[in-house]
Amino acid sequence: MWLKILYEDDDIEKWPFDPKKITCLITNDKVAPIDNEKKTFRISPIFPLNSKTKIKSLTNCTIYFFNYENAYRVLGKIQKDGERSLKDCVFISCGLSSIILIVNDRKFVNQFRKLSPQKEYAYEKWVVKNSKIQSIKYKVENSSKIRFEKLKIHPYKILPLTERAIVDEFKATIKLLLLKLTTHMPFELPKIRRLIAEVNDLITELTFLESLKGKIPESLSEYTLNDLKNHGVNQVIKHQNIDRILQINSALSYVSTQAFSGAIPILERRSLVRRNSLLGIGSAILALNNLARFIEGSFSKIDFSSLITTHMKTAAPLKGTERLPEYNSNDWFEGSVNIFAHITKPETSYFKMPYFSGRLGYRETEYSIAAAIQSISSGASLEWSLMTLTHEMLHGHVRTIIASIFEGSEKLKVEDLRDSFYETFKKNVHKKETSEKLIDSIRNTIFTYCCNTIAMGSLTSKKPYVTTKLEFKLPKKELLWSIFEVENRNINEIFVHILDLNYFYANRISVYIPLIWCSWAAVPHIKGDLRQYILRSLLTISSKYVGSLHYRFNTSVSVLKELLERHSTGKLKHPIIQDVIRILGDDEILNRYYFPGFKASVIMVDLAKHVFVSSDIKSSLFNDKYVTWESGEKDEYSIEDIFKYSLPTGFNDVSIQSPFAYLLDYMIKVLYNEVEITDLEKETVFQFLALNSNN
Amino acid sequence: MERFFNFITSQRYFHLVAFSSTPYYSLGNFWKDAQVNLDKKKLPIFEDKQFIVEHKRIITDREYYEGDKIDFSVNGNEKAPYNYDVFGIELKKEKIFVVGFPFRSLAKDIIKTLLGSRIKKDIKFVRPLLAKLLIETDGSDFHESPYIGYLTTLGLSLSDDDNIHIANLGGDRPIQSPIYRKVFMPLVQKEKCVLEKCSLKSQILDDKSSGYPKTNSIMHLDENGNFKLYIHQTVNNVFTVPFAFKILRSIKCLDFTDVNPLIHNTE
Repeated sequence: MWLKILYEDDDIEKWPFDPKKITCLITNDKVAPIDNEKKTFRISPIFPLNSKTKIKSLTNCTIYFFNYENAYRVLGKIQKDGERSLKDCVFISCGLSSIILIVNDRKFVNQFRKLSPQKEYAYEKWVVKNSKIQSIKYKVENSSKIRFEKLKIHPYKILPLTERAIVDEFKATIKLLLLKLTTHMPFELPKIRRLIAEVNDLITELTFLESLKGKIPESLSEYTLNDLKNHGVNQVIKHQNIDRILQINSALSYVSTQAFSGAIPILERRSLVRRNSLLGIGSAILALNNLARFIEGSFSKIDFSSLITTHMKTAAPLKGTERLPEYNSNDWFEGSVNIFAHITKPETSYFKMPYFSGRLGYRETEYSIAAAIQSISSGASLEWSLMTLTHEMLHGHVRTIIASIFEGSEKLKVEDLRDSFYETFKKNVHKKETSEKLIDSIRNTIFTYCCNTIAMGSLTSKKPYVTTKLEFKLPKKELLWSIFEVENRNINEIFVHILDLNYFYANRISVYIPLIWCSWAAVPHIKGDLRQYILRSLLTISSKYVGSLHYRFNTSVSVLKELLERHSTGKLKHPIIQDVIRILGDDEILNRYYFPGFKASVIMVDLAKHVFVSSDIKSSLFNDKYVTWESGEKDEYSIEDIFKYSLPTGFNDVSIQSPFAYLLDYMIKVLYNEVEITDLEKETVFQFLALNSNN
Repeated sequence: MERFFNFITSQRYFHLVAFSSTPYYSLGNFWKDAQVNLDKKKLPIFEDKQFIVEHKRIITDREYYEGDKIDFSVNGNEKAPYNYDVFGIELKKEKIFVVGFPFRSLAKDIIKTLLGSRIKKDIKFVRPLLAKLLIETDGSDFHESPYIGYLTTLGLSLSDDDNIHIANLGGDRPIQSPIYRKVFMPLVQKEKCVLEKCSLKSQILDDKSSGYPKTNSIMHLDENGNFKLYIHQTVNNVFTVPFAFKILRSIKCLDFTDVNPLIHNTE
């Protein structure tokens, strides 16, 4: 169902427009109702609360658009206690105006407001007569209550025009964004404050680098004045800073337009997502933002960077790493982040800006997190689920971990640091007495992985299996570091999978594997690199089994094959899955091309699992009274305990505290056909509203 | 899914009794010695080099089921005689027999008869050595292709704490948990904490050559030798039982005793 407005043909270029010349329509087309008339239009898909509701026209009626902080709860109450005639008037959308009432009698609005467990923070009312909008009224509650945030940007007059223009753009964008945030998303203001502070630091550096006068900014304290006077160094830092502000500007323009187009007053801004040009995608972006914020909040409980660079520097090394490359990870928990978590202070949250992108798909950068634009209409499907966000966001977290492991003393130059790390590893390999600390042993396991890859390959490097036992050789320093640089991405990927499984999928491989293959199968480039994706899966599964390498490999192969076969006639009915199953049934290929890379990489699986999975983060992510566990013993196919989010399907008059627990449960139900999706887009909007319900 | 057996009443817990006997004993002898009246219909038997797994149906006038949802009557009239699915397993090399009953009271009756028979003196009941199992395996998986197993829920009894006597650690892999390793493992090593009951998670993985069905199960076991298993609809998960006993035997975590496990209250 589409809500559509049409402007009179001679009004296309006129501004301000006359609302009385706007025709209001409702259509039941499957595709966007766009015709060849010389009239401009705005459309948005809307969905009746009651699936049986039929509405043919909007000739004479009143339309109310409501913005709620927790529309899911409001709809839950209406669903539960509202009369049928009231429910027939209620529609939902993925705009900020997520609840729409189309009524012929004011009594329904009164009933609706009476039942609502909370008051709307904004509403807009259109009176429609003979299909034309006769009047528009609106009210935004928050605007007068919340103090407007003053924008303070450090002086940047002295910057050259190109750089100045980029900062101007930031200033203008942020000013407009602040106006809207104050009204519609005041809870996002702290994030923007941090963003402004970050950009102010960049501006301070830029102005100093331009003038080279005064005190060196704190953030550049690692450099001397002479360093900064060096043209090369000066330019590199400037370019980096400008690039960062450009990235921020780009993300801000997406966020600003996507979040607030269609916000009340609705006709003021047209959404750039044309399919939703009337009401916008505000609720979708809020859901995305909410998930990102929830992850950031959970991960900020521990300052990993400080934990690694301070506490792990003095603690005893990982037991069982004295004779690398042989190791025993049984007691690695004694060096895990959980041991030190209570003595570190919480970290300040990240402030990534989330938006939907048609070009980037799911992608994480320093300042932004992009979700595939397909998720706006199909986010409730397994292929385009917002759950994919977790994987992307973990990349940033793992980058911090790995960078911290390789961070040395500020007094040492990079080359000296590399020498020192290499020598520590060399002593371990040659079984010499060392005074290794925890961080050294962690670094040594990473170096061991790098050495393993020389003969055995990795996720991205294919080395065939040889029957003779490969002797572990310590490469020269330069080679080891260059391998580390090449393999850094693979290390990051392995860590991300293990953390993703543990943090967001409750350590359920029976869920994680089919779901991740659902999202992979939807992306065309996977077919060209199947080995990597199979290996990633095998390594992730191996984290659940304890025993020899061959045992873990063979078990992982069997489990992966079984899981894919089980879903290959259901949600994983895809040619690529058949290709994978074929490979998993071919012992020769597996032993020749998969086992070596697996063998080289398992040490990274164990390191991630035993040392870097935080129980604090885990519990924070799933801290919700509706989370329950059931023994899997009664399930013919279950290989693990069964995770459930015990909230009835449909809207509920409650707040969902853990959006991930809700989302995971939902995806499991879809995977096992426990929910029937008759209207994917409606289900997606429904999900956005549910994910926003912990505000 | 391929299935070997068709039970009238699957999807319920079965009580297992394990015993060993003289080298020449067999499942056939057991049914005779237990003096049960078996359905004459030919029911499937699985046999390979390692195991025999057979399905039998006991016909008796005694009603063991007190609920009203399932009709166990032979004639479908909710009246005697009744028939009950049971299964018998023989581990050929180990000479261990495992018999599964849908009701504990049925198991009690049959074992009572068995103990009154000619082979009374040859019977040794099998019980798991849980303390040894916990310490020696240290959380490692048990595996022998195509079977893998590992301990899941742990029921620990503490002797040095006046405030906590029992700790039940539920979950997939409690032994891998830092809480277990930090808190309970040192107590277990000092014998201040004893494993009284646990669950063994078993999986039979896909293996074309073995002929066993892909399946999984969770078997509950206590130190007295009470074993309990939820039988799935396909009944395929009975195949995990012989593997579990075989592995426990190979790592020397089984004990042989005269004490009938069914005299202990398991609740």
